[in-house]
Order: sequence, then structure tokens, then C-alpha cells
Amino acid sequence: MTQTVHRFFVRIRLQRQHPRCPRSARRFGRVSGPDFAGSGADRRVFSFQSPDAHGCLPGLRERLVTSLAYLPLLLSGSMAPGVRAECERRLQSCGRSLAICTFKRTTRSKQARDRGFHLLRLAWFRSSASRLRALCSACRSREPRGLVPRVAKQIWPDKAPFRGRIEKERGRSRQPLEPPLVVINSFGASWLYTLRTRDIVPTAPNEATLSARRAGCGESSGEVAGFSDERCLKSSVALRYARERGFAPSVRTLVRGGGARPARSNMAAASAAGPAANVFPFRDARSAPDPVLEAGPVAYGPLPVPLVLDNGSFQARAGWACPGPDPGPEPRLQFRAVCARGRGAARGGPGPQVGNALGSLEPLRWMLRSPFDRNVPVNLELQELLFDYSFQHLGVSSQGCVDHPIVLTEAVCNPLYSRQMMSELLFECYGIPKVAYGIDSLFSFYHNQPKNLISSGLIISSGYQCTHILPILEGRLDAKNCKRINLGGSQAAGYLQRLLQLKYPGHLAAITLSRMEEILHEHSYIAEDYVEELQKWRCPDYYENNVHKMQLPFSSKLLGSTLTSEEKQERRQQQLRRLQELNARRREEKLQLDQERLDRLLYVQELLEDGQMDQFHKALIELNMDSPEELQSYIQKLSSAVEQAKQKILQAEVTLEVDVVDSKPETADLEQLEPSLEDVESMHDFEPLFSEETPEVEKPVTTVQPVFNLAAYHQLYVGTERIRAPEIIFQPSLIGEEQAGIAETLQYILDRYPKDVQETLVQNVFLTGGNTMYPGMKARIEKELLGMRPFRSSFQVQLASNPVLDAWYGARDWALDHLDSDEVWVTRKEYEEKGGEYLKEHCASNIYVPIHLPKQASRSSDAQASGKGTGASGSGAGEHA
Amino acid sequence: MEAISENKMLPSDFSTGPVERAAKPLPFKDPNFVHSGHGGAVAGKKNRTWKNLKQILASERALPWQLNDPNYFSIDAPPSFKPAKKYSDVSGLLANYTDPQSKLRFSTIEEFSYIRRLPSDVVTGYLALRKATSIVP
Repeated sequence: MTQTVHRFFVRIRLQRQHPRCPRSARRFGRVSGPDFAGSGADRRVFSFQSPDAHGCLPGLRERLVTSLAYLPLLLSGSMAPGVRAECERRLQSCGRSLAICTFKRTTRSKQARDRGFHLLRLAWFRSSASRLRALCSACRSREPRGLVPRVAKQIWPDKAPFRGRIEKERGRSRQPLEPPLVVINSFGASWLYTLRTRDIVPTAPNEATLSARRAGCGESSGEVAGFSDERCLKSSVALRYARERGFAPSVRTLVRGGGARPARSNMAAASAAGPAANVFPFRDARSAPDPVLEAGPVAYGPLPVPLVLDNGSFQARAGWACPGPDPGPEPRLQFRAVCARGRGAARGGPGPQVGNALGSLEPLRWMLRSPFDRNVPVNLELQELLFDYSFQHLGVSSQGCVDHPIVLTEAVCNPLYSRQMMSELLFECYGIPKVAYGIDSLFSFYHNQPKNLISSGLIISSGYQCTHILPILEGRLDAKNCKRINLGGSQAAGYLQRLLQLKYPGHLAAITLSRMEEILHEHSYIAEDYVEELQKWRCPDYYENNVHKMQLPFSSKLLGSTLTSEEKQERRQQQLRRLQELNARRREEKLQLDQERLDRLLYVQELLEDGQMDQFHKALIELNMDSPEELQSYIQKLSSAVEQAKQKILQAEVTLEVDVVDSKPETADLEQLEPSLEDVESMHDFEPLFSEETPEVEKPVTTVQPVFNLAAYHQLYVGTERIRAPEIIFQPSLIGEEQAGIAETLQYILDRYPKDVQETLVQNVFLTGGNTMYPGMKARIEKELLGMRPFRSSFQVQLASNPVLDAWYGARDWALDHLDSDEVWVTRKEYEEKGGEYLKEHCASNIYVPIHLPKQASRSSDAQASGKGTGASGSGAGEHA
Repeated sequence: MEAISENKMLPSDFSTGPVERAAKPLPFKDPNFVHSGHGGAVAGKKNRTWKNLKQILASERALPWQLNDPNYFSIDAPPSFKPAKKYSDVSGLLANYTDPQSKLRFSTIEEFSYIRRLPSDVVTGYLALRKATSIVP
């Protein structure tokens, strides 16, 4: 070994005692522990606190020499300057270049951090391969053991790491090294790895490093591999330096668990390829008001035709159930179940507007009222308005009463009180002959089953306000085992709205519920495997391709943004000139008046001088003056005023010649734009794809053509929100709800049955309701079922043919089937005998529990009635097998 | 019980000139109907509002249900037994980390720097979104 080689040194400095550091105070000790890899050879740990006079560390030279021969990079803490120079000199004399890592990540001292030094500990493990492993003090805990070799294997699958003994070499290293690999993990910590030495050295390469490597390898760039987070990769120091120095390392990105992706050489271009794809405008649809339809001959047959009303909390659907061979098309009326009572209503303005007559809902959002509270109608006055609207537009024209039987949908296990109120409304206000209550999802179920088949199944009905899971056994609802999750489309819309409002606080008002509903209906989907889907969304490529940029409407005529500054100044000057002209004119007029007056007074004075006393006195009286002296003084005053006015006019004319530019600062325009810039900044700071573009964005707006910038400012990026918002019914913890999601509730319900019943139920899982119309819903339910059913058991999931309208179709078919049977309709007589909460059970109805609710005629009289009346109506009244 | 005969429509509506929908009595309904659930002018100034769902359910609980009877509140889904997965508040990815200062969850370093620069109302907004705003740590 030559003496020169002995002068290799490296400064090792212990900076921080990591709690897991096995060698905290030990020197030259034997340590073994779970953190050390390799065979059970003896390991020595050396820690050194200070160099000797030459900057060399005693006791280490021999060993480090051999290892470091293959390291093109040296890492160092904060070195004293002289020591560093000495290091460089000595290394260069041996033909090695020294590169000092200047990347520091400690919180200990800000200064040191600014200088960019990397504090680390070098722990040297002597194993049979004489490897040097260095660990960064900051990211030690995050480096998974074997990460880097694993990555290397993916990058170079054909090359195996060198397994021989590393010989001691003299002088210049003879063999060129393979390009080393820099692995960057998701925290930005990076390691350098060479095949030859299999050393894993933490690093954050800067230019010296890279050039050193270049020199050492004789080749161009090294490989840079990003691990599991391409976004981090892009923003990492290594690559930034590389790019700045015009040095494009080939980059591969690896997804955890997957293989290496093909290398992309030009990452900066990716974000600049700003896709114009994926920009969607909001439709902001307005509903057209419904015409008042003529009932037509369909409504009148030998028997009065039943009216089918699907009373939903989102939409109410109404139509006729026309008997005959052709039942007819979809329901004639579909409208949002809301009404808006304008502020002028109490004073006799236009009455409350209902449903489709409202047009767009957004301007009236604060005045919208719905009769529903969750999925139960509680405000029957508004319900009455909705009924009025539907009857009127369907063309009901019978006098004094609505002469048609009504099929109405109600909630699962509708509270008796609300059924009582509803019956009262129907019978007493509208005078209908008979009514039948049913559950909408059951109607939908029966519409989708083959006729005359008594079937069992499990209905998952997800609506606007809540989601029900209903087991059906032998054609009857097993109400005991139904479960309801209080989450549905409206909660998803609210969640999405708040997410976007928090992300774009500048567009608070533009992010409206109807737009959220539009996003949910058209741009969202349910991920089959949520966690996996999220992993996909991590990659900027996938994000870029699948983000939906919703374009908010904006006006390009922002204040002053279309004018340049010169134009603004021009305008200002014009205004000034106008003002000045106006003033001058006014002064001239005043001058003229004064002049006339002065002339008159002078004339009167002349009268005095001429000696025409009586005329003079008369004139004085006219002028309202007492004595000639007063006249004199007045004349003097007036003449001086005239003089002054003349002076002023002359001055003004002079100043008009000179262009006076007013330096009034025009802050109003810019201030208005700055908040939006800040929002854009904050939004863009998070989206790393646009991190390179923020410098452009911050330029002042006085430059010309800001049009495309404006469009970008008004775009909402809907990325993972596409899957997050619909996911709340599967994971209510996203929104803070404690209830279980669909999957767990499904399992809970299935567990309440014996195994054979479970089998039958699972063979017929039926999805219905508007909230199940997301793409991917069926696949997700199938996957969840696969997870909970026994191995190799079968199940069948079916989506309703039209999840929104099937309830209405089912109710219509049911009505037509049961027109004649009296056992399912509650007639007016029965209502009067047995009270409003009476219900006759049928294949699609709730279970009737015979508890009598006293009728509440006036609140004061029996509001305190506790309703403990026993079931006098007989328990067998409503049972149907 | 008979419905209390009272003209539900305000008399002023009839006097307005142009025929409006609220004013014109609809032929198929009884103009003398008043809801018994609603106070109206009869019950006095108090209690004019409808009962909301909570109140209805509270009064329903007082009725003599049997053990196995299905009713609205017995149908509520049980709380979840599985531990909830933690997702980042900002991006929705799986979050392994929580900011000790603001208790927001994040998954990458950029998100952390974004979170640290957020104004406090946005932070409270995110926490309120997952109902984590209680002061008790």
C-alpha cells in the first residue's frame, strides 16, 4: 500500500444520537443487532469525534482506504475550511476527486441548513465484503433495509452485484465504474449505490457529485431512480441540480410493488404539455317549467285510474297508471322535491314556486325548502304544495276531491306519526278514495323480477338521503333485519362541495351544490379497490391523464386587465382635462354674471353722480341697499372678485397647456387581482405538476394577453375527489360518521341468518336507487361480497335496469295488478275507523305494527296524550302471508 | 274528528288583481282544510312549526313497541367495528402521518408544507369535515 493512499481520510462526525443507534458511546466495540445486515461476522463500529492535526482520523485509515477507493463520493459534515481544502488536495494527489455533499437536513441550526450541509453519521460495518454503509441521521429510520438493492435489481435486472473480494488498488482506479445508481425515496432522501461495491451511501448529489461521478465513470449520467413517488422525484434536489446543469439523467420511476417503468428523459416537458383535454365546462342546467297537461282519455276509464306518486326526497315522480295493454312511457312528471317561497309571498307576491317551475336552483338556494327531513316527509304544508303541483300538472280535474286511488311511496319503517299526517292530508284535503303505501326499493325489486315468481333477495337501495339494506324472504320484507345507513347522495354532494371549497377558497361562491351534483353524476366513479386506486392516483402521469378540470364560468373583462398601463394613463388624463374644462366654463359664467351685476351697480352709481336722486333712491331700494356708501363698498367688492376671476381663468388656461400627469396610485385594480393570485399560488403549490409554472403566474397582470391564464385560474381540479366523494357510503369514517359502511352492514345482516338462508339471500343481491348509478358500483359490491362469503361460494349481483325510475315503474305495475283487490288499499272508511297510521300490508309495504296513535286535532288539547292506547284495532287486521 | 273549518287561504290573496297560482283555489282540494299537525292560528302563536324528524322519533320511542318490532330507529346501522383507515385530508391518499400542530393528516412532504401554510379557517374546515374539531386532544 502506498503511503499516499494512507492519506485518504474522511471526516466522520457524530451529530446526533439516534435512539436506535447501537453505538452511541461505543468506540471499537462489538455490536450486533437487528439493524446490521450481512452475515454474523464481527462488526466494528467506529465513531470519531475529532480529527488529528492533519485532519486525519486515527485508526481508520487502513480500512477506509480500501473501501473508499471505490466511492466516487465522499460525504461530509460541516468541515472546517482548512480541513476541507486539505482533503481535496490529498485526494486529488491520489487521482481521486472529492466531492463534498452539501445537502443538509437537520433542524438543529438554520444556518447550517442554509449552507446545505448534510449531517450524518458514518457507521462503518466491517463485514466480509468490507462494505461501508453510511446512514443519514435524519432519514435513518426511513431507509428500509434492502430497499436500494431491490431497486437496483429492478433497474439492472441482468447485472448482479459484484460478489468478489474487493482488492486493494493502488493509485488511480483502473476499472471504470458502472454508472452508479441514485435512489430517491419518497421523503427525498437519496442513496448512492454502485454495483461494484454494493455500497449504499446517502447522498444528495449536487453538481460536484455528478461531475465527479461522470469523471469517475467516464460515462455520462448515472441512473437516477425514484422510488414510489414520482412527484417527489421530480422535485428532488438531485434532479433539479441535474437539470440546471444541463445534465439529464435518465430517470426511472418505480412504484412500490411494481416494476420499473420505462425511463422518461424529459420530465420538465411533461408538465408543459398542459393538456387541453380533461377540461369540462359546467352545464348548469336549468329545468324547464312543466306544462299543465291534459289528463286525456287515459285518466278516465270504467274505474278511476290510479295515480302513482313516487315521493322521493330528491325527486318526486308522478304519473298515471293506465290500464290496458300498453302501460305507457315514463312518468309524466319528474321534478325536484323542493319549493321556494319568495320573500314577497307573504305580501301577496307570486306564491311559492315548486319543482321545475323554479328553473335553476342556485339563485334560490337559501330559500329552498323541502318537505323532507332525511327521508321522511315532516312538513306537510310543503308536501301539500308538491301534491298540488303534481295534480295540477297531471290534469286532475275532478271537483271537490281527487277521485283517483293513489299509490304512494314511503320510507322504510315510516314513523306512525308521519303516516298519520300523510293519510290525513290525502283523505281530508284531497278526498281520495283509497291509498296504498309502499316502499320504493321493493317496488323496484318487483319490477325487475320475473313475474309471478316469489323470490328472496337482498336489496341495497341507495338514495339521496340514506342507504337501506333490506333482506327479502319469500317475497316479504324481513323488516326486523333491515338496516339503514344515513348517508346518500346529498351527503356525498355536501362532502365534495366542502372539499373543493377548502381547496379553492377563492371560488367559494362558484362551487355550488348543483354543480357538485353534476360532478357526481358525470365525473365520479366508485373504485373497485379503494386503496389500490389511490396508489394509482399518486403517480403524476395517471393524475395528469385522469384529472378532470372543471371550468368555472368567468368573464375575461376583468377590471383593467384588458387595458395596458398607457391606456389607463390616457384615460386618466382625459378625465382630468374634462374636469378642468368644466371648471373653466363655470368660472367664466360666474364671471359674466358678476360683470353684469357690476355694470348695473355702476350705472346706479352714475345716477347718483348725475344727480337724479329719486331714481337713484328707487334703484337703491330695488337693490335692497340703504345708502350710497353701501353701494360703493359693494361695487368695490364685486370688482375685486371679477378681477380675481379673470386671473384664475388666465392661470387655468396656462396650466391646461402643460400636461399634468396625476400620480394617483391605481391600486384598486391590482388589489382585486392579487387575492386570486394568492389562491392560485396556494392551489398550485400543492399541485406539484405546476410547481414550475408558479414563477410565471406571479408576474403582474399588466402584461398583455392574460386570457389563457384566466382560464387556468378558474379551473377546479377534481382528482381523487372523483373517488372520495362516492366512497362515503362504503367508508363513513371519511366524513366522520360512526356507522358502518355498506360492506360491513351487509356482513352484519347476513350473520343474523342461518347459513342456508344466507346462501339464498346472496344469490339475489339487487342494487337500486339513484346513488347506485356510479360506474364501478356493481364491481365494488361484488368484490366486497367476495371478501365476506366463504371460499368458492357463489353470489349474484344485479343492478336495476333503471335505478332512478324503476320504483315508479314497479309501483305502476303493482297498481295495475292490484286494481281490484281490496286487501291492499286503505279506504277512506278504514282511515276514519282505524286512524291515519293504519297500513295494510302487501308484497311491497312496510310491516304494520298495530299501535294506535291518537289523532292530534288541535295541539293544545291532546298534545300531552302519551299515545299509550293499546292495539285496539286488532293485531290480525293487517297481516298478510 | 272534524277538521276545523277555517279558511286556510289568506283573504288578501283573493283580492290581488292578476290571477296567481296561490290565489286561485285548486278545484280538487278542500279549501277548508287545515293540517292538524301544524299549529295554525288556532293553537296560538306558539307551536306553529312542524315537528322535525328528531322530535317525531322521540315521541315514537315512547310508544309501546315490542322487542322485535321494526321501527325507524331500530333500523339504524350499527357503528363500525373495524378501525377506520386514515386518509390525507388534502389529497385523499393513505395518510401515515399527522401534523401535531393542526392535527391534519398528510401523506407526502409537499402536502405537509402545504398544510403548514394554510390559514386557520381552512384547517378548521378540514377538521370539521371529518368531525375532528373537538378541543380535547
